[in-house]
This record gives sequence, structure tokens and C-alpha cells, in this order.
Amino acid sequence: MNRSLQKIRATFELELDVSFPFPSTGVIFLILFLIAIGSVLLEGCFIAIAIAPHPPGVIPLDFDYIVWAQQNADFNLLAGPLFNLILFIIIVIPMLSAFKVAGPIEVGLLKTLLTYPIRRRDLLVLKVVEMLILTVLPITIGVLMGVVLIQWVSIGLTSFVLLLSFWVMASTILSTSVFLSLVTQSMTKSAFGGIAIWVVLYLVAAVTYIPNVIRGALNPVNLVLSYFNDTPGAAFFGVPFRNPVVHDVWGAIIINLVIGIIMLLLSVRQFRRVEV
Amino acid sequence: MATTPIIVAKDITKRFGQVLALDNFNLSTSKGIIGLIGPNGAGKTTFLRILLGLIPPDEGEVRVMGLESQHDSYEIRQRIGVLHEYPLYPPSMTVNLFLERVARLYTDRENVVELLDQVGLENAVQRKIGKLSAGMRQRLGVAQALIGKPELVFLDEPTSNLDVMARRELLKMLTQVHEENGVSFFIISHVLSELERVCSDVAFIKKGRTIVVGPLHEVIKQFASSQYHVVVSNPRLIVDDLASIEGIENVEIAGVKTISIALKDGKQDSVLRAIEEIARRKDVQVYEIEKASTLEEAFLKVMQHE
Repeated sequence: MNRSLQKIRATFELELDVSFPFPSTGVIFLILFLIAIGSVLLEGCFIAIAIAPHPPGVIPLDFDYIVWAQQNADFNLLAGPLFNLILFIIIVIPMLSAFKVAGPIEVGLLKTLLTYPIRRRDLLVLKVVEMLILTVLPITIGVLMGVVLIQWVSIGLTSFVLLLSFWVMASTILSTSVFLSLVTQSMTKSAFGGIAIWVVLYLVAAVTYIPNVIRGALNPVNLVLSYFNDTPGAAFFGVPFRNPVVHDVWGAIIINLVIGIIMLLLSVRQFRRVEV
Repeated sequence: MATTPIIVAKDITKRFGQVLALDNFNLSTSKGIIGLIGPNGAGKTTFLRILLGLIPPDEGEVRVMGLESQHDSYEIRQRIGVLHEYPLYPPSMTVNLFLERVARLYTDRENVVELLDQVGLENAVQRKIGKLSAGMRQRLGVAQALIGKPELVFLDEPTSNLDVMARRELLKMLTQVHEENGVSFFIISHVLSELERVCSDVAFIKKGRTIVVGPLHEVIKQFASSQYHVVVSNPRLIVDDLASIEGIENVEIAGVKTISIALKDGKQDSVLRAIEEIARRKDVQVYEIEKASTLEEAFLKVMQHE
């Protein structure tokens, strides 16, 4: 193996063992997976029944109707839980970033690591990749397994676009949180600051009528969901906007991705300046 | 052929807000075992952090083994080892696993088992770092500093938390590693007697400035050759009289039975006779008059005059 790749691998292994000693990684992965699969199981029936056509007034809650409703719900069986899991990752990712980025600076562990031949850029990028995989991958696997194996819904292009928007949004939340961790260099400030910022943005995107691209840039999952259901999205404040079109969706995903990349580049720059 | 300096600091200034940590700091040292000495808050650890590229200087330039400390920080770290003053290692990892992981970061590395044996941790190989005693953790710190076969090792208070036996063993090991492998050491310590035992060169630092730099024996000769300790039965009865002897530059009580005196050049014989005479008159018994040409005396003298 190439020497520089060997060094990156050695850095990754040391960093992982320092941050998450065995079996923490596996436990975190398993917990997030179970939360995701549980979310599909618990929400699936409600979402299916809520959106399935039924006679006005009474919903027939017999088994055949529920099965029929679930088959009709299709895309929404994946979209519903994923939309709600965004709230979950808005809490998990800033906390993880605070623990993995601000924590070592605050307690002095970073000083130890940076006296070894480890490049700051490599260390930060490895941390980001590690956090992204550790949070988004188990959730993705969990919801897909829940939908395909338990709800018997087939996965199509719509699901792919939805998952793409979920990954992009998670990456942006992550790079923003990492930047905040590096600026504050405090676990508490960065964790609660990151959560506060994204909860506000989530609510703005969810409950106000704003142009679709801006709404999608704040929460692309929300816009993708609206687009495939051909609705303007659930909003309460402002003047109703038109239903999103395909350009809105791709525009929103790209803007969100660009914001994430910019925040990551700023984080790498900031990390080089951190005095330990 | 002239020896290339291993550490060169030129006009380094570093501020932390209103605090001036380093003020036009200069230092140039060759290979060997170098000791950096100064009172608390003098700027020693700040200088170490700049050397390691952990913080940039506001002004000036630092070179380590010919490489610029900020720009070439990665290359420098491949060739050095570091033990910080308050080292923090992952408490959940075992000693063996931690050193294995660190070793893999270096191209050339020591055998982990042999190194653990060398630092006296052979019985703690599988123990978690969090379960180690303070002394054992310090030994682990020394081991991780030596794991990458460094050319230069920075040690910040290496003997803190170690008992007398362990201190002696560590100093012996450092000397051995230096002699056998040519590894240079840059040691920051408050225990001057230990530095005196191992260092080839010393530098005194005060308020962010270098005051004295040079070979150990020359520094002692220059600043402490006229220091004596007079051990008597009751120092308080004669200390004032001693101060009036011509040829004594400074006199002070240094212990329950010890008076420390600094002589002017060329007055040794007459002064020592005068001391014995005063002691006889005051009925004070003189147990011993010993030359105190130590690094500590040199350091104290320099600090008093600066």
C-alpha cells in the first residue's frame, strides 16, 4: 500500500480509537440503526392511514384497510420517517461534533495528537467522514430495511432522490457544526449552538411560506417530499407559494451541498489556525 | 566543519491578549542535551509550543533541525518526540495498543515491547491507560516520545510524578539513548540538580527573554564559581558579622544550619579564615565550608541580578 495511504489509515485508526474506543462505534451504529428501523415501523401505519383515501368522517381501521393503505403510501413510508429523523440528526450531529472536535481542543487531547506526524487537514477530514458515516449510514440502512423488508415497498428513483437530499442535508449540518466547534472551542457552546441554529432553520423551512429554493436550501428533504407529493408543503405563515418543480429540487440540493462544502473548507482553514 | 544548530529562534515575540509571553526571544543550540530553565510564567512552554508548530509566533522565525517550525511542522514532527508537561492520553486504550497505534504513524519505529521494557512498563502492557499511576503514565509519556526513533526529543518536566529511583533511572536512560543513538534532548525542568546531571548546554529564560545560553560547565563557572555553603551550629548568630567581611559579595541564610555566601574574585583564602575567626568568637561551631558551584546557584545569581 502507498506510504501516504498507510499514514492516513494509521491516523484514522488512532483517531477512532482515541475518540470511540471499542465497542463504542458499533454500539452507536446499532442504536441509530434501531432508531431508524423503529421509526419506520411506528410511523409507517399512521402515515399510510393519514394519506390514504377513505370515506369522509370514519377511517375503517381493519387489517385489510391498513395493508391497502400501506401499499398506497409507497414513497411516503420512506419520506415520512426520514423527514422526522432530520430533527433527530439535528440534535445528534452537533453533539457528536462538539464531542469529537471541540472536546479534544478543550481538554488538551488535540495537543497530544498534533505532536505526532499527523496533518491537521487529514485529521479534520477523517473526523468529518467518520461522523457522517457513523450517523447517516445506519439511519439510511435502517429506514431502507424497514421499508423494503417489513413494509414491502419497492425502492425507486424517488427514494434515491430523497436519500440523496437527506445525505446532503446531514453533511451540511455536520460541516456547520464542525465549524462552530472550531470557532467556539467549547463542547457546550458548540453542541447547543449547533442544535439551536438548525432547529430554527428547520422550523423556518417547515412552517413558513418562503420561495421553494430557499426552503429547500434550508431543508432539502422537506422540498423533495413536497415535490413528489405535489403539495406546497405544510406551512402556516405567509402567502402560499407555488408547488415545487424539478428545478427547485435540484437547485435546493445543489445550494445546500455548496453551503456544506464552503463550511467544510472554512473549517479546514479554521482548524489550521487553532492554537493548542 | 561547523555543527548545524539543532534549534534556532530569532527575535520571537508572542502575545496572548495583553500578556507578553515571549519578548524578542533568541536561542541557538547545537546537538546534545539542552536544558531550558526559568521561573513559572517565563515563557518556556510557550516557546515549546512554537517549536512544535502548535502556535505561531507573532514575530520572528524558529528553525528546528534546519526546518521552519510553522511551514515544515509535519516534517519536523516526523523526526521528533514530545512529552508534554500535563500529557493526556486516551484512558480507555491499553498501553500496548496506544503505542502500536502511535508507532504506525512513523516510518522508522522502535519495537513496542522492547521500549516498554526499557521504560519499566513491561508489566503494564495490557493495562488501560486510565488505570496507570501518575508515575507509570509519565513512563508511558517517555515511551511514546521515543517510539518513532526521533533525532530530537522535547521533554517538559519529564521527572514530575516520579519517585527518586525512577528519576535516576530515567535520567540514566536519557543519557544512554543520547550516547548510543545520538538523540538530542531539549528538557524543560524546575529540578536543576537533575538538569545539571545530564545537560551539556543550558539556557536561562526570564519574562520571555533569554538571559544566559551556553555550555553547562561554563555557565556554572561564570555565575557560581564563587558560591560557598557554610554549615554551622547557629547561622543567625554570625550572619550579620559575615556580611561585614571584606571580600564577601552576598550572604544569606539558606537553611537551618546553612549560610550561603558569594565571594569576590581572589578573596577566597582570607574570607574563609575570617569566617572561622568570627565563628570562634561567637562560639559557633563550623561543621563544613563547601564550594557550591551548582547550576541552581548560578540560576539564582542570574535571576537576582536581572
